[in-house]
Amino acid sequence: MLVQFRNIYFFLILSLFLTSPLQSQTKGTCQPEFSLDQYSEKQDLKETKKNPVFVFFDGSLSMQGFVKDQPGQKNLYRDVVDDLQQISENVGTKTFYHRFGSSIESIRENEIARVTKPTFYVCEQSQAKCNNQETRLELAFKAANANKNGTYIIVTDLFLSNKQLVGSTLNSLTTPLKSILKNGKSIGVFGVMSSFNGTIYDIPAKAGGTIKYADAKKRPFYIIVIGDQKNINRIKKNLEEQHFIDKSEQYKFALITSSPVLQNLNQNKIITENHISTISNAANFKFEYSGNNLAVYNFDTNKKRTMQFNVKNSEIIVPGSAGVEKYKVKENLWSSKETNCRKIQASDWRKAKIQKISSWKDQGDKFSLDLFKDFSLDKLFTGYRYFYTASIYADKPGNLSEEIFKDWDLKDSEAEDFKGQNPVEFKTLNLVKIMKILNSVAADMFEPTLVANVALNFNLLKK
Amino acid sequence: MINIFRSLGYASVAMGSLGWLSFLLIGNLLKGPNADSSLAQYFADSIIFEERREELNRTFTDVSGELFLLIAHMNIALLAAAILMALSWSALSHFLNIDAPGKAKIYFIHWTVFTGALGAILFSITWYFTQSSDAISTEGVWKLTLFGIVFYTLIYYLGVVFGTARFARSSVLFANKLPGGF
Repeated sequence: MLVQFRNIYFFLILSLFLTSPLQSQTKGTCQPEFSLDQYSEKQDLKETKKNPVFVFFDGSLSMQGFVKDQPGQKNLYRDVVDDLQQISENVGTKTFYHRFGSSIESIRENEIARVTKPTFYVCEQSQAKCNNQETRLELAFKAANANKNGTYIIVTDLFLSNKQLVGSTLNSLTTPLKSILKNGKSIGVFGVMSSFNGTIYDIPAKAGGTIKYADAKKRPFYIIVIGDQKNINRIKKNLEEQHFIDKSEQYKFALITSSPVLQNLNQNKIITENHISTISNAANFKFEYSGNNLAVYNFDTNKKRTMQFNVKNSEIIVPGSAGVEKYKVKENLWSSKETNCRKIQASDWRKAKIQKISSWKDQGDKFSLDLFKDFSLDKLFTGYRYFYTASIYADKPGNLSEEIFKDWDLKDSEAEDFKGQNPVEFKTLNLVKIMKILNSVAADMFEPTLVANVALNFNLLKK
Repeated sequence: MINIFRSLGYASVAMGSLGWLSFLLIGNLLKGPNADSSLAQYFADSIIFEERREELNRTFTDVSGELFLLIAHMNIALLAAAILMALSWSALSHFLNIDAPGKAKIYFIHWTVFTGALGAILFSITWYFTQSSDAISTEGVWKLTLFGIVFYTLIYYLGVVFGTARFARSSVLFANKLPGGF
């Protein structure tokens, strides 16, 4: 009996001894209780399976000049279109070819080779029955909405007049685009300057009506790819490797997407201690990822420290996309009078009522968050422990793609004067306007995206 | 020597007439903040960075606890400086070389410099203490500095007026107005 009591007593003492340090560790909390928005998986790029590819060739008569040789000029249209067929077959399980003008008609596989021949664009019927008199791009976009898993490739000169970019015609162009972007798809626009030997129709005249021009030796054509970003990038990589290794002025690329954010920096643990320069020099510095992949910088500091969280655009922006014009930073700050983590109770943390603590700026090649710029460290009471969190969101997409294609743009009102200059290189009518429309549709579909969650956990010292 | 001790006694009693207020203040400050007291109210209204405290969502007790202790220590230092300087002058005044009528007035310059030194010491003390806390508002810093210098200079002045040797009273401002038998 005595031995039993002795054993129980020994067991109680032992368990008390073993659990007491554990309790003291778990009792204290070096972080307040809070919840941050998390990056949702659905925002991420889905793994793409091989799905059908639909290729649409603009069959309008203006395209004929791309397939005729122009002495002294390099014809890229034929080369690119030839390879495009190969690339399409690599990207998808099956490829379906179509021709579009005033309507869409499918092309048999044995007729595909004709796309690079002038006869493909010739119509021997009466003009009213011909399918080569106009470019109804909206029909191709509408078709792109049919199979949500497919990849759509549209080859066109993108020569759209003002009347096609207003009212109901514009609506019929933007409505399917919205639907495409809403489904998480992106639109890649490849512009290629190629030799041209033909007539450009439907150039708007100042007095009304249209005029034509036949002296152009070069002219850009466009490949619009609608699909998953991964497929677009695959096509881009193929085209660049085969035709545009030097990325000369003959080639331009823009990605229209409702999600120009490449990745969440927390999810992929991209954030390191170097994202805040010189912070690692601070006393008791420690960088860690806590629960929910929150990047936490722990350190002691005085009020003299300046801190800037920098992220390269290449880490957060989808290459070739319109980028991000505006960011939003949600901030929170807590203070605790008790600075020893082991002794801090949850009730010691008090959430500050400060609206703006840090401010962000776009430095061209990087995003910078000036930490404690608006509410400086100087305004904090020393001798306290502070816990600061910043959730950085991409809030508004940019318009970089408009700048990319600016050189090849021809305004409706300037078209006749431009033609009067007898240009060798003919530009694309309303190109920037089209890019603006695409970007505005993407902006409408854009939802603020969480880029990163960052936290600072620091003791503010007097010296 | 008896005269020196008598001088020190007079100076102490004179300083005590105002000094008790300082003791009372220091006692209250050492007790810590009491939300209902007028002192706490004054601190909240005039000394503490109230806007910053509210922004950081800290309670008045959080911020004022250390501050009360700090101001108490500041007052102790100020009181000690004022007493020490007043007693020093009172004792030293007996050793001034005043061997002819009117010569005491020459020592007014010495007294002015001595008092100026006290002013500088008081200013340094208040500056050191007020700058070592970031809970004191700018307005609070100036109020505490002004209060520290004026109040403790006044205590010192009472000490030197009554403590200066009778033959040297002309060296202290208005000290010669005291009754001759005092």
